Amino acid sequence: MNTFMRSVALLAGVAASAGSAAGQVPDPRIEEVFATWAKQRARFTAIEYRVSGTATVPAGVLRHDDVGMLLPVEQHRPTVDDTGKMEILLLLDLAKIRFRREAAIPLTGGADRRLSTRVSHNAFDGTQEWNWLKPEHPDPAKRGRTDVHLATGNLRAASFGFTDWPMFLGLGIVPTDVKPLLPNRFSPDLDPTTFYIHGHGVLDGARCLVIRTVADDTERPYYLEYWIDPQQAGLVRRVVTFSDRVISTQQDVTYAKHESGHWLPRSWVCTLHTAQGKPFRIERLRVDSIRLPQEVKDSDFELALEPGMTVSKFHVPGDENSIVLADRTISRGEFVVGPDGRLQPISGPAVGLWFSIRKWVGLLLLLSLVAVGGRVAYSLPAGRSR
Amino acid sequence: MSGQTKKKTIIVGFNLTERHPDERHDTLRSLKQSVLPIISGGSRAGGRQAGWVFTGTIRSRVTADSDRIAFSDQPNQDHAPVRHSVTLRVAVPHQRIDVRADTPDVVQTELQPLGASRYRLHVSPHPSLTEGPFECRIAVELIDEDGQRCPGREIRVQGVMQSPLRALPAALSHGLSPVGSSPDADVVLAAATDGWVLDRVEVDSPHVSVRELAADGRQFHFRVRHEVVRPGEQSAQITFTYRNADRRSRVGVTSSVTGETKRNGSVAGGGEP
Repeated sequence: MNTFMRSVALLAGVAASAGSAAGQVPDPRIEEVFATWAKQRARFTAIEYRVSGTATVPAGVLRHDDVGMLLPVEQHRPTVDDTGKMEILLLLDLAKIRFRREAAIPLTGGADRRLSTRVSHNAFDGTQEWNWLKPEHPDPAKRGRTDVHLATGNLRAASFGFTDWPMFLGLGIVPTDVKPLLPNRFSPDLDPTTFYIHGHGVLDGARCLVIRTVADDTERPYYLEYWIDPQQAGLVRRVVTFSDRVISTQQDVTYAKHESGHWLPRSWVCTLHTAQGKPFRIERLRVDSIRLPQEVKDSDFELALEPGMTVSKFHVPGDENSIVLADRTISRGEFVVGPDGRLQPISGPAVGLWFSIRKWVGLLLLLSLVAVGGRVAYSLPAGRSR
Repeated sequence: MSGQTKKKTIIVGFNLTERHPDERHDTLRSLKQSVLPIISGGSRAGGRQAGWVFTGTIRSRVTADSDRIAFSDQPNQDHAPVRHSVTLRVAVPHQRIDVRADTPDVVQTELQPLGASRYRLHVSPHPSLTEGPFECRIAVELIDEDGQRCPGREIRVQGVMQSPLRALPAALSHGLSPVGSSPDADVVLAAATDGWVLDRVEVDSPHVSVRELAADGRQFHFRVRHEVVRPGEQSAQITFTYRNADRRSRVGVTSSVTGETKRNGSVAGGGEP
């Protein structure tokens, strides 16, 4: 199952086991690695990254049998390498677990399956997740009903994507498939018994310790591999995800010593592969600037609301092991931003809000699908039991 | 005929062995099912109120925290044995539980009691397994208080036994590179025992070269260079053959790269960051 399929399958809301090794005695070398990451995490309270680069879809790599492409048989897209520019601003408040993210991400779409850039702003203020997607249509009549979504509860659908992982890896924050990075959880509580030492490899001349997560219990066993460079503060230089032993994603991160004295990410390359293991999207990003602010403001973690904007509020039930379908979300109402900046309730047909919520889940999936943060979905297990 | 009462006996059966995937780890699960009789002619007996609601709690004989053990490519011949475990819970009175693999030569099992109703099932690939995929099913059976053998759960086991030499990485992905460039990357082959000697290296592409950088009988370090000769994806298979005093082993590594096409007279992508 490729990344897209796994994401779609997750809509079934079924969680997989973390792997059949959980509960065994942890390898002390794994615990040592975890301790190194914990030390790295303790060094930072807030950080702001500005990142730019490109995303490329190689010519002919999108085929009719790739899920979601809906291309005619034997029609391959794009006809030439398709490249779009990427920009990300990410501000993390590690002390209070809040963030702000402004991104311009090229996504494959349209009849010709070309890349087009979508601009989005997200924030988490400690309570709710704010989401704004720049309208594709300048004509307000053709836009969606909601400008800003405000979500609380189970924010699994808003997991940070693979593209963002290196900005966390550099802080000693290492996600896995079952412990993704969530708006309200930056430091996954990793279970050392679900990792094992796979060996040693050499990356850019550096001898790295290679550890893996234990394969999950799905039909196409999924696991992650981390290459750890002891010369660079024990940070993760490479993350590879495998689905049934075929590479699903790979990211290679380079680090540089920041003026603060810490090793922090300098650049990274994320490659997403088809189910057959062929690269279909390559993202090459570099860090333009890193700021370690001493203080952050509450307003940094909210989106600016302008008079006339519509806002949908809703609560997502369930735990973080599943993305919840839009029709199970609980409405907290629709609002319009008044001239004084206050939210005024809108009375209207409920179906409008339902579509609005569905759009929220859809757009988060869309944004994360281009670079899903590891495994987010599982195949359905057999139902028979006694 | 109106006013007459006829008695009918209705037997209602439930298949309690089916469950929703979300409930697969639940020892107890609730049941609620309404049954409405339909009288021939289409009318409901006694109007809307007639019928029965069956409620109850289904108690599973045995549940497992996972129905499948995936060793994937974790086990290597000669290396330390790999052991995976699942926890079994029993929710009915019983004497004991038994586990039995359908092909005993594939895995070794050990059942560890964790209390009156919990067990830990440890499973390891058999050390004598040959290289390649392996698969088996482990039946968990419950022996009830009367000594009757009752089906419990079935645990599927699958994996791939690797050669004595483990390649890291087993798949080299050089990413996107301009046509005409030659990206390279390192591969390390590691054995658990000493005494291995490289016999030969075979590559199925003239555009891939392999150079040995270091070797010590247990660890072998190579640099693989992949010349990008055309736009699009291109891959090659490298096969390392090793031997020691009593056997020979082959390890496969794939090398792949995607050549960048030119657009409007320039190479797309803007180069490495």
